[in-house]
Amino acid sequence: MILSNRQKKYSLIIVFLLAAGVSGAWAIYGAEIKDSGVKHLRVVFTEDPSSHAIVSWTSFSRTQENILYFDTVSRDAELSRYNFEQKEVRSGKITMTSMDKSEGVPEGFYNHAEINKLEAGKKYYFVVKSGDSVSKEHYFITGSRNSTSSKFLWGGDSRLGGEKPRYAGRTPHTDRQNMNKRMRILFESNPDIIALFHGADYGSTANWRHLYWWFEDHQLTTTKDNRILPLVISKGNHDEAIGFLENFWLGDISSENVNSYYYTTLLGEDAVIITLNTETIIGGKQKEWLIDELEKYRHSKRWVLVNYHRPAYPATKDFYDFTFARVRQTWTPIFDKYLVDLALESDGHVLKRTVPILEGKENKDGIVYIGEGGLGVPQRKVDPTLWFIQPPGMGGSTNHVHLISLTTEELKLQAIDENGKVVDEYSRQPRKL
Amino acid sequence: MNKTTLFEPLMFGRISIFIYVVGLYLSLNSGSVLGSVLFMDYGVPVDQSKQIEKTIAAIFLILGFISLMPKIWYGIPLVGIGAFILAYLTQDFGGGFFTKWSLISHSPRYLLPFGLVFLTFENTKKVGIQLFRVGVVLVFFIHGLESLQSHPYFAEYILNSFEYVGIPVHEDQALLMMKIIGGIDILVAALVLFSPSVFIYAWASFWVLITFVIRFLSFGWLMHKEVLLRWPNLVLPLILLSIMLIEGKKKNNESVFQT
Repeated sequence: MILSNRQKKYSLIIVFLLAAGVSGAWAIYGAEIKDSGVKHLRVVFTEDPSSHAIVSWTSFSRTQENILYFDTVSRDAELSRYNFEQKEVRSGKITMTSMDKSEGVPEGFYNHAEINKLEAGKKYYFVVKSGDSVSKEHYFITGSRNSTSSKFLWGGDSRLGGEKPRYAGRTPHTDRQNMNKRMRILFESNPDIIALFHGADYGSTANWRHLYWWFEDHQLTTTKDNRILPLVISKGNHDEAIGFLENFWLGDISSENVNSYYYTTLLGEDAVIITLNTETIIGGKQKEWLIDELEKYRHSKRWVLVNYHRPAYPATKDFYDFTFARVRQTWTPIFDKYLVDLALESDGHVLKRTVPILEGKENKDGIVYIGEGGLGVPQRKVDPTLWFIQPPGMGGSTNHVHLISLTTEELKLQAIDENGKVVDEYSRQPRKL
Repeated sequence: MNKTTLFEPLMFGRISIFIYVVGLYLSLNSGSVLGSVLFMDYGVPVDQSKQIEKTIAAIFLILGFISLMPKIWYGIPLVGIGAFILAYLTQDFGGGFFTKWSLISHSPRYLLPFGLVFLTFENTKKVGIQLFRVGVVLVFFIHGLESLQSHPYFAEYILNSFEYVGIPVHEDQALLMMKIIGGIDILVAALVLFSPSVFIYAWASFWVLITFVIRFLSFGWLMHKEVLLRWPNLVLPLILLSIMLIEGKKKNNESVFQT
């Protein structure tokens, strides 16, 4: 085919425009995923939020100089004015799979600064520095040591959320972002919230293409005045990849079992939350440890709660599936024996609150199991025939976060959806043991 | 292809496919990885996902019944294709212990049907036997590896079954046992690969049976679905054992087991 000069000219213009379009799109796409400096600031509490925290962040270039500067008064990010610094920062390159690379998330480095002997109930202002990059100043508030009341957020399953595209790993996760914005509003209107206890399954995997966006979205929980919502971490069945260990390091100072992701968090004088790990051996050492903890705390604390990922009483998945039966068989007899006050479960992607259950049957003195995960993840439907979600229990299908307050008089919880509507409420008085 | 007279291992294989399909039917009906993938990854409404699962479960059951008919073989590879797809989805979707190796650990589930089709015809019989051998090698190798890496479920099976029989063991002891078991499993895989024998197939069959028993001892009748799904793990070494014994009786000079 022979082209005329005019046709050649137009062809050249079309080819040029196409090339320019492709290059432009590539440049825009590249710019979106190119990061520099430090990002993903977060604070993690483990056993004692009143004195110990881990400040973590992501940096994007290799450097030996990773430092946390902190103080009990604001220093407006002027590094020389901060009275405290932590130079012993656990840092390393975040593992990237081939899919992470093809998804286009930038290479990153994890950084964890563990700080101890903090003052209880105190504001801690901090900045982090990696190489030449310095973050803005943020702050967090340590937990109280003597308070007889505690308030915290709890929710699980934030691994997806958004209409299109839905495939795991891609952003934006609009539902998750909306839930995070809701948590920020709750945090701002309830400044006494200590932390978000996360029921796990952060991303579809704990590979970087998922955790990167989870950390991006988590920034939405930070208040307008830069207060960070601390996290208490548990481990779920989608958190198996090495990225979980790299990015959710729980410190050296803590007890040995903490790095197996089961530990007890002290909340003031009157409450403990025992975080368990369904993603390891749940009998054996963990079971022995659970019994020891309940022996220690059941009679000395007014409120004893347990938090773990895989439910004993699944409200949507197969009740008889081994995955859940093993939790029921191994742990619930112990919960029953020590009469824990509330069990927090995730995994199913529904909203549920069971009737009080003791020895596998409804019993007014039994344990209520709540949750199943709704921090943005697409919601399934509960099985309405299940005996344990009949009134006074409930089941539903909406994203939610729980606001739980523990006082000397009562345990009160509200499940709140992304629009701020209270979709479930429950309260109970302390047990007379 | 010349069709041979059906001999006992073939019928056992067909019955076993049916047993596996019953497990699959129960699994799909009560919610499986297929429903999760449809709902979570592709946004299919949850009710439709469940309906699709149930429909596929019914199709599998029909294929299972067809597999029982001695003169009809074409339903069998369809079961194999289905089992392969489910293994792939399990691996891709993740969310379970060692699901990253599901294509390998589930291999008997799809190699049983494929191998059985080859085994049906005299001129492809050797291919069938080799596929079965590959299945035994893979399943023992990967479970050995999982055992060496302290698979939590395996540890719980040991802890619970020992407790059941009144000899409680500590977690450290259970993990030590798993190291030994894992080593033996990998040795079995190597022997099946390089030096198959009646003894090694008998051991492999016996060991799979033991793993079924400890599942029941650990978590009771609820494990029936898990055991039905793993039925092909037992069938492959058993069929290889029976063929080897039959061949031995015939005293053929040329063994089909020569590599």
